[in-house]
Amino acid sequence: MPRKPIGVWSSIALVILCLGFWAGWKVGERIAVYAYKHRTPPPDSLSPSEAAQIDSALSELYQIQIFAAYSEISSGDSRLRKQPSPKTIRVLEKLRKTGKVQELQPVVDLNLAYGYAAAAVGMEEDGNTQAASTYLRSAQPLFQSLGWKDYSDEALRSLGEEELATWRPRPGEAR
Amino acid sequence: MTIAAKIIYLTALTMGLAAGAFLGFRNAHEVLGALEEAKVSTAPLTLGKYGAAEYRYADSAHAQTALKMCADLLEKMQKRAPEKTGMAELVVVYRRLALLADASNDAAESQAYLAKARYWLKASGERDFTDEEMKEGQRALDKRTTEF
Repeated sequence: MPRKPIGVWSSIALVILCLGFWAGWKVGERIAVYAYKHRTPPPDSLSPSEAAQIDSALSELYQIQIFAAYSEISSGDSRLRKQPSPKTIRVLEKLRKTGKVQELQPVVDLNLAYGYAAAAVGMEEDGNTQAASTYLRSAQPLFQSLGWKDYSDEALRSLGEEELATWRPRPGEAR
Repeated sequence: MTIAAKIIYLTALTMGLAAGAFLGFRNAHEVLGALEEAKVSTAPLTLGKYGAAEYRYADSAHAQTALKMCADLLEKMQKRAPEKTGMAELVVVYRRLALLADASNDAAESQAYLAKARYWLKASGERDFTDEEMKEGQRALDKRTTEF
């Protein structure tokens, strides 16, 4: 068998090393995810069903927090407000239908309603009164189901402005 | 393939696998840890915002249901992983429930909620307060939030 030059040997060895590293990385990641999913809860704290419920609740609340914040940021920024319905609102609408933790349904509803109110204010600022009105009409039944005493257009506009103000820089503040 | 080549290739494969597995595990472990920390610390805030909105704008029946649900989930979260944001939210939730019970003239229930608020206040390392101080503190906090 003809001898290969040292450069060919080392190149093949380097490729094998890289492929091995990549495969090992993937295996390591999978082991970490498996260990994370099957970690044992602290003793004498929660039953397995309660622990599973809290795990799902934590994940859902995290998603709600992220998407609610982003939907309000995007409603308040004309550069992000290009499409008729911000994508993040659609994510919250989906979460409302697919959420695993029944108790969190009203929390999703509230954040979705806040998202609609903020989007309505954003659309009004753009002069798109029809879209603004659609958002307000979508928010009202949600606030009604949450037992709110006042869910008039005016109350929701003021709520939407309040929400958007959280994410907008105050006058004189650098962007 | 010579024996030397086989040894070199096998060594490269073993070294690559071992280093990749170690670093991949460590990286994923850190990311999952950070994600877990973010979930545990933001969940009480999301529940707190919901409880506060219901307490401020909804009728008392809905507000009570919302606050009780928050208290139940927050207490389970504390059993799973105790942390101060959740304890502070529990104090607020129980003080608001006590104020709602007061509004419906249920003194016994109000005292029971204040006892729970006191428990979580102590658990978070705060000093003890009287029932009146706790209710007054909550009223002042809600007033400031409304004005803000």
